[in-house]
Amino acid sequence: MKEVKVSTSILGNKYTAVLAFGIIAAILPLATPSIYIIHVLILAHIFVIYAASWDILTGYTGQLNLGHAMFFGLSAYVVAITNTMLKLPLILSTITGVFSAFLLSLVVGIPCLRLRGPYLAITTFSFSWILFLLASSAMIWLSGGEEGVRGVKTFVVGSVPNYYLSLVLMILSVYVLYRIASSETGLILKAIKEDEDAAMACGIDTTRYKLLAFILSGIFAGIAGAFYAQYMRIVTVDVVTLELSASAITFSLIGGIGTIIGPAIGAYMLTILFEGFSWLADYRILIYNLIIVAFVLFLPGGLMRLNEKIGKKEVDGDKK
Amino acid sequence: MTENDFLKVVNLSKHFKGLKAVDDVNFSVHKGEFLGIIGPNGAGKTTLFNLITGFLKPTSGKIHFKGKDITGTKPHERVKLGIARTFQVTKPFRKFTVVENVIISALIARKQGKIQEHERDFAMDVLEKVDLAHRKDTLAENLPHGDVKKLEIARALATKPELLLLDEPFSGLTGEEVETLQDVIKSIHENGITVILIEHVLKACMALSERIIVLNYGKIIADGTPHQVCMDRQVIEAYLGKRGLEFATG
Repeated sequence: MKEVKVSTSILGNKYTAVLAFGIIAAILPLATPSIYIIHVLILAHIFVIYAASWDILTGYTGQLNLGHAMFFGLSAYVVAITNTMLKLPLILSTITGVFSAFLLSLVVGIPCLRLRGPYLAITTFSFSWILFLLASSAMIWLSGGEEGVRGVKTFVVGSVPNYYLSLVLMILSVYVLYRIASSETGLILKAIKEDEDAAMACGIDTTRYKLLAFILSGIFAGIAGAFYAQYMRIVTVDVVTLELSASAITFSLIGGIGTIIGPAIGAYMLTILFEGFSWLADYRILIYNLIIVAFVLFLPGGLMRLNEKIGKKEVDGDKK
Repeated sequence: MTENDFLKVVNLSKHFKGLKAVDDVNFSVHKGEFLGIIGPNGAGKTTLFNLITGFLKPTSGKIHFKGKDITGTKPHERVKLGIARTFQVTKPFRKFTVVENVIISALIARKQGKIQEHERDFAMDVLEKVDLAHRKDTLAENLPHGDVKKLEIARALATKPELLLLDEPFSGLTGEEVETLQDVIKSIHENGITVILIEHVLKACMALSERIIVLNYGKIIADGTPHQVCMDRQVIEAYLGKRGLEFATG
């Protein structure tokens, strides 16, 4: 894939920033004795993938998805159910889980291809709501409701191995999504977001590209959900809640929609904030909303825009 | 394929509920022609464009392009076949720079094998043609109206069309801008692209078109050279009303 547009740097030089993060992330488990901190970071890695996968569909392609938890949740449930009840080997369960998220992306994506704006938002919201209702009441015999599905096997045992596995998975996923987003395909997706009619007039098969965005979004959210299931070893209705869908939007708004890296940073920071200060968790929705209002008012482009602004000032400073 | 089969519209109708926006329209365009379409507001001109470019499906009738029936095809498929359009209400990719706007079309054209060179180089060539190269790095949302009109044309040209449909490219332009754009469109036509132009600025339309079709209430009421059309009683009546006709003809 050829890069046609260079994205903005993260705090100066993007390679230094990525490298610095990589080194810190790699030695972190050696530096901390706290399993709890490692646990929080593993969750952060998972939600980074989740937020970045939302961004490719909504941030890049402009297809407002209000129910992103459905991909994450379906995959997590399918992994848990096939692994514990059907006794499938974990690797097969994982593949089945991600594949089910892929299928769901088709089921939701195909009717959504004809919908725009609020209709699309309502449809995605409804699908996730249906999934929540199934998991929390209608199909409780399968999902276990609040009790959840317990006893999922894990790929690796212990926090530190899971930490490294999630770190690698996160870096790979964000890298793939980022490369797609900064390729020709990414530019075409952005054109669709800007104006669908104009994109058609340019010769773009908008149906095909929108479906591609749905599929990518579904698959990567599915990967995050599948990893979550095997790491937590239990899947409850938490994975299909409205709150989880909303968090994809919050993470991305804070980080900067339509940048892949921005939502990833947003997810990382907010997950640590809420998990690390668990007494905050009761006020989560309140804080989410305050943060959203603050960002919409003062920094509409998210943290990525802040970085751009700092970058600009530095350049201006050089001129003087 | 005879010359007349380049674009052929047969018994084409589009009804919105009770309104016959396009009503049993028949005409052909031959390769290399410059056709003007005029008519009062609401005559069905833009609807006709939307039908030819595939943005709307006809209620009945057929559209043939280069001997092929394209009636059921989608807009992007028609672009691939060589039909490009601009929009009356301009639709730039606002957050894109001028050159990025054009690169989108060029990218698709390269994927389809229509151009060999790098899409950025091709996009810059096209921007030169419409006299917009000096604005290449300006965000489309910051362009003045006249330049947005040019950008629309550049984006359509970058799809490498054989048939170019221009929907009121002169609307809202100053007299000077009209003249520059007129030259641009003229040179596009001279490069061998067949052009269909909808226009309210009759002066420009008359100057450019070799032939003019007049639409009124979705029907063709006149079809001929600019001179013939101007003298047509039905056309004058459509524009000025019956009393206007009496006044105009004494």
